[in-house]
Amino acid sequence: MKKVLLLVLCLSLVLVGGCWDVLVVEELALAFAIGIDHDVNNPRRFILSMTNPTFSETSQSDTRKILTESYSLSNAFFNLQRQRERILVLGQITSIVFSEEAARSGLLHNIMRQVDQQRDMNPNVHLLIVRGHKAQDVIFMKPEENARVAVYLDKVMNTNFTAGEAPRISASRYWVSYSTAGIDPVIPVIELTGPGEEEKKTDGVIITGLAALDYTGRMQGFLNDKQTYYFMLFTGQNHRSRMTTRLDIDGQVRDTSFYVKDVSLKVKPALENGRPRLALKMALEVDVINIEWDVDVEQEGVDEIIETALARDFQGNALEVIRLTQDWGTDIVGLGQHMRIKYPRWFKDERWRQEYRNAHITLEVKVKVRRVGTLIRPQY
Amino acid sequence: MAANKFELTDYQWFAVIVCAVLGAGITILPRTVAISAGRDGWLSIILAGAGACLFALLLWLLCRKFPTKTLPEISVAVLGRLLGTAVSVLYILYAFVLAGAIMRVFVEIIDTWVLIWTPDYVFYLLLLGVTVYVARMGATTLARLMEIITLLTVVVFLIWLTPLGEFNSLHLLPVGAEGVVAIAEGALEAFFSFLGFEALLVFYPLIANQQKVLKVTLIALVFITLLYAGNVILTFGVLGVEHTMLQKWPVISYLRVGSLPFARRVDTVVLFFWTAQIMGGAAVQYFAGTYSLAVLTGRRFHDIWTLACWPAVFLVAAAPQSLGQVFKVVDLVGRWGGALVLGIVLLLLAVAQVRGLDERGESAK
Repeated sequence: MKKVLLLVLCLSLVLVGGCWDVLVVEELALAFAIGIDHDVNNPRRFILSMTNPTFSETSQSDTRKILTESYSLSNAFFNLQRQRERILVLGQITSIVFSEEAARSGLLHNIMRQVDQQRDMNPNVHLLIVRGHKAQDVIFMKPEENARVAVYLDKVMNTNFTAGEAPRISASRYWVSYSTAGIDPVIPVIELTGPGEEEKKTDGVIITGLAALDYTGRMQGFLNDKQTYYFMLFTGQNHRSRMTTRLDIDGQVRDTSFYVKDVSLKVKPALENGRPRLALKMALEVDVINIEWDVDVEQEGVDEIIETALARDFQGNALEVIRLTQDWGTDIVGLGQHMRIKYPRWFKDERWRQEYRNAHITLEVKVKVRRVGTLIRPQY
Repeated sequence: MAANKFELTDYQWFAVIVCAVLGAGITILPRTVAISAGRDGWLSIILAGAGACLFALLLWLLCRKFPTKTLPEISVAVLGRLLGTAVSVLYILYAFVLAGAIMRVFVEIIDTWVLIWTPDYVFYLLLLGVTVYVARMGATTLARLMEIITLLTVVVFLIWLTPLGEFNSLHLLPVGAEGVVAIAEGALEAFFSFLGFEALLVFYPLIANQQKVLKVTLIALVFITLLYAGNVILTFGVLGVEHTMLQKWPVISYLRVGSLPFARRVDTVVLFFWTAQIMGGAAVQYFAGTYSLAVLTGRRFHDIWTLACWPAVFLVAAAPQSLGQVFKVVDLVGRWGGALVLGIVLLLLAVAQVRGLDERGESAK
């Protein structure tokens, strides 16, 4: 009897307390994706766009599209609630899309600070910046692959992360990169796709690269899709990476594609006359998918030729990515963390921001070719 | 030695310590040590764990002199009726305040993250209902429940690992750069999170295998130290030290990063299970307080005290008007309560040594 009573008391802890906070799923307006744009008429305000399913058999549409103008995120959500017959919940939001203008002006960071304070917001929400269009164009598009924009965006990001085409950037990663000394945040950039003129492109999105943000959370530069691969290699996010490049072998340009099976990066920081110097050593293990080269790939020395050409290619392109980030003043690779670890007394966040632009950074690349395709003579 | 049904086995005593120490404090511990010791916060935890082991040694040295006595009996025997009673009352108040503080911190977390609109008194009454019931059933029933809760804790810590994919070891480097002073300061702050095992002062006569009490206590404290240090390392590794310091509830923020295929909100799953841990911690303290009252007043059974004293715990839990006041109360309980218990133990040990009081010696004569 006493055990039963104890069980009832324990269960009551779980069950009874929820009455005041009861939420019936059928009565909820689940938000899945939101877009943030500047209000061109009032720079202090922004426009929040949202789409959420109606879950109603009598509704004329399966999704409800809403726009609201506001000064703050909470206020925008309250405004949205006043337009809905259901309770608005934010916990299911999977993507937040910002216009490039919002990312460059600092609005993105203001919103992200506010998102951090929304208790029911999912910290694993994808962050995206759209180029060439407004964020609301993304939220209100009609993707061919999926009727629901939010589900489509979520799948595009997850699938491309799994395929090694894009890094997984969530709200929590943004917050951590923003707060941590010696590293700056990045956010994937998308563009709308479709036939015809720009304003009519509503078929879907393409991940075109990565936005580099500075310590204030403002977008300072853009890495294209290929440069994004190098960023992923530098930061160990090369999950199932596949790359294509054009190698200079025997004085001819040869199209090559390969899997990056393994990569390791060693960073050796130093201070020379007060100037930071970073010697980067990258070791890669690649599996060549195809190469446009009329040669017997089992011949001795072929692997070494490809390795040398790939190392040279990597070195040039990867170093170019570092140079770009130095020009923008955004240490998105997180080299500052290595300086902080080696020289904790010297390192100050503000100092590193100044020094990073002029830091002497070198890169040495070693490539190991594990195999070359499935044909003895690729260009037969 | 085989335990009779009114005595605690080794594992039950281990479970009682785990439940008594692992309370709500773990949720703010990463921020507490980060503020003092930065990236070396986890070293502070290990140092604090070593300090807790030393404190446990002192407790054991005192308790083994009086193997059949609880704190009120020891203090009266060593310090006399008046002073001994005063010391016992202080300890009892400390136990009630600690039980109330544990509940309040947990209610703050639930009220912030899960059940925003549920009135606080509902949580207090539900938690107190179970706490009073369990404490009233006696030490062995309490210990059996703690056994189950401790097993549950292991499962909860597996869920704790879900955000591991976001772990970055660079956040923890370099090791030792904050300096010895900072690490020591962090250890002092972290030490208060180990409070709870001083319940040994009350439980010692109820433990079957008194030869192994010290060993079991130290194993439990090492286990808790590893959990605490692991928790700080995971939180720092996932959130980074700078972002951890921004969080009011860093462990909740850490858990929110994780997700399971069947549950997106890992923090809610953990809080669900942690309710038992909180109730366990409060119940151990409540039992220690009411049992001491029973011993002090010469009553053989402490039922009446368990039924009468819950308003004191409720008042402690409900009194703070804001989260700032809650943190102040927790700080006060940790610092002054910890100092009080340490002071009591040192005083009793010193006086007992000077007066040559040792129950073992007396029984041998």
